[in-house]
Order: sequence, then structure tokens, then C-alpha cells
Amino acid sequence: MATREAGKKMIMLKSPDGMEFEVEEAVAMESQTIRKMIEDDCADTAILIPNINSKILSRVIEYCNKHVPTTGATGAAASDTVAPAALAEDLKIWDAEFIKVNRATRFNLIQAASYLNIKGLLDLTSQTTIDTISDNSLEEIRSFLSTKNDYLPEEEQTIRRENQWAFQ
Amino acid sequence: MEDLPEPLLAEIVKKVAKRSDLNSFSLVSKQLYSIEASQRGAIRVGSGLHPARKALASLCSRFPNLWKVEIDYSGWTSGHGNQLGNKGLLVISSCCPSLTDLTLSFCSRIKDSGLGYLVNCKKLMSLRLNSVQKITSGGILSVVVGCKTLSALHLIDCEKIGSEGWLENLGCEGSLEELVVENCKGISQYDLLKFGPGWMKLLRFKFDPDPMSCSWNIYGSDEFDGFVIGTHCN
Repeated sequence: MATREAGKKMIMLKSPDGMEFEVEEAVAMESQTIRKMIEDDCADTAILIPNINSKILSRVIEYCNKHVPTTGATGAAASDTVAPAALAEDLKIWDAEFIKVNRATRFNLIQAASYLNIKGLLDLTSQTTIDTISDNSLEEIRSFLSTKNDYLPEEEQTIRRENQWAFQ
Repeated sequence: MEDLPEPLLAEIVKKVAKRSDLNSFSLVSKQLYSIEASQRGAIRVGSGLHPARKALASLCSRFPNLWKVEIDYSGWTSGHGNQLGNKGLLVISSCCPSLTDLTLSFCSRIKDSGLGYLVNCKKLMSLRLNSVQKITSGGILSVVVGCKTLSALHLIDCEKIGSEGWLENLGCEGSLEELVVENCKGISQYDLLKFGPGWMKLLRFKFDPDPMSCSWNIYGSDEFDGFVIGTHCN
């Protein structure tokens, strides 16, 4: 396994379109799926990440790089002088920028976060999707999810009535 | 990968907190209706149920994974139509296999025989009765005997409940961790002695015989080997 700088373990991640990404082990282990592979010693050489193309994988790595605990000495988050609250605030702003992507990319990120089991990224992408949909009209939600209305008018009426029965 | 696969849609729907959004999801398409229905774990119903039992039965079969049900008739007037009666609890006990948490508030038609249906709720852990005036000790006893997993019991403003039978049974056989008794005239602090060995398992306890007079509060905590006893006057 390759090593670089002060004995930091490096891991090679490969996307199905043939791109290779060398990342610190700590960064890769933000993904519980990869962590398990490493802990089970299934990661001696490169790890092939199926179904996630290089464009999405590079964004996922970008996210993990930012979110890896500060001891990983990656980026500005490593500074000892920054208070935890300020760090959290910084991360929130960074996340908000990170997730400003088109619908297709966001859906791809959701799938990647789910497959790689990165809770923070899955929460971020799902919550942003909920915020996008929230308070929208049914037609807007249908168009966002590219779903068609398959109800008969009377079926829709029945559900509307049922929805009134419960307070929550 | 233009569309989200169903398990991921379910993952997202699970995180939706606003009821209006959940209702919207149910109307988007049949697929989202069934995803939303299987994710829904809690409902609160009351005056809006009409006709009460039939409406409750449809909701319970629509949401098969309900673990928390609250029936709250506060603010009910006869204009809202009949309240849910005893058979309503039969509906819940037969249609909600995952039920762990049930709250009944201001239910004027539910009696001991209704509460008796809850013995089929084998996972029931928490029961809260708030101003359910027709319930007596007998009703509580049937739940205590039938639902061995009960770990929290709140009785608030229930005038007819005394201490006969259920407190002793619960203390000896049960595994109660939380007991709250507020403004129940039939239960005095001397009655609480009947709880016997139950005190050893209890983690939280509140007793307020009458909110207008001095009251006893006893708090249990994991950090203390026993109970902290205090009084306060309102």
C-alpha cells in the first residue's frame, strides 16, 4: 500500500470509467462501506467503486476531504485556533455551497452517499431535496421526481379526505 | 441515473417532518403513496375522524407500521360527531402490530372493556391516559396483566382509577420504569406502598395527587442508588 507524508496511509479508489483517485485512508474511511473493506483487509491494491462515475466520485471525495476529522490535517479545518462552533458554521456554509448542483448531479450524489454509506452526505443531499420539494404544488413535485399522476380523480378525492382525518 | 430508486425515495420520505409535505407525497403518485404509507410511524387523531371507527380503521390499514398512536379529543363538541368508542381500541390492537406507544386524551366513550383489547398489543411499552374519565382500576389491571412489556404508565386526571389490584400486580410482575400519577383522586400516596418491589426497577416517578395542594415528587435516576425525594407547593 502506498504511503506519503509522515506515514499517512493512502488508498487508491477507481471509478468504472477508469479514473483513479489517491486519497488518504482517513478520508476514504468517511465511507462506512470502504471502511469495512479496509478493516476486512479487502483493500490491498485499488478499490473499484461500481456505479459511481469519476465526476461524482471526485465530488464525494471532495466532501469527505472537508468532513474528515481535523487530525487528518486537510484544509483550513485543521487549524487549532478555530473554535469548534466556528468550525461547524464554516462546514455548514461549505455544505450549502457544495450542494448547489443540478438535479441529476444531486440524485447521483444521493445514490453514491447511500452506496458508500456516508451518513453526513446522505443527510445533506436528502434534506436539500426535501427543502426543494417542500410546500411545492403536486405538479412541481411530480416534475421534480419525474413521476406521473396515476390516480383517477375519485381516487385522489378519497386520499384527500383521508388526509384530513389525522392531525399529523 | 435520472430517477431515484424506490429504497432511496423511501429514505428521503422517512426524513420528511412536515405533515403537509407527507400529505402531498401521498397524492403525487401511487408509488409515493405506498412509500409514504409504509414509512409513517406515528399519527395523532381526534375530532376529525368521521365516522370515527371506520376512519380509524382505514388509517390503520393504510399505515401498517404505526408504532405511536395518539387519540386526542380535547376541544371536541357533539357537532364533531360521535367519539371513538371501545371498539376503536379493538381496531388499533388488531391493525397495528408494531404499536409501542399509545396516548388517549379526553376520550369520553372509552371504558375498561375497550382498554381490555390492548392485551393483544404485545409490544406496548408506553400508555398515557389523560382525562379518560370512565376508566377504573379494572381497566388498568387488564393492561398490566396482558402487556408485560409495559415500561411507562402515565395517569393524569383520571378520577375513577383507584389502586386496587393493578399497582400490586405491576410492582410484583411488571417491569415499569416510569410512573406518573397526577390528579387522580382515587390514588393516595399510601396506596403507592402496594407497588412494593416495583420501586426497585423504577427510574422515573412523579406523583401529584392534587395540583392545588402540596405535592410529593420523587425522582429516580441512574446516577443515584435510590430515589431523591422532594416536595413542592404550587
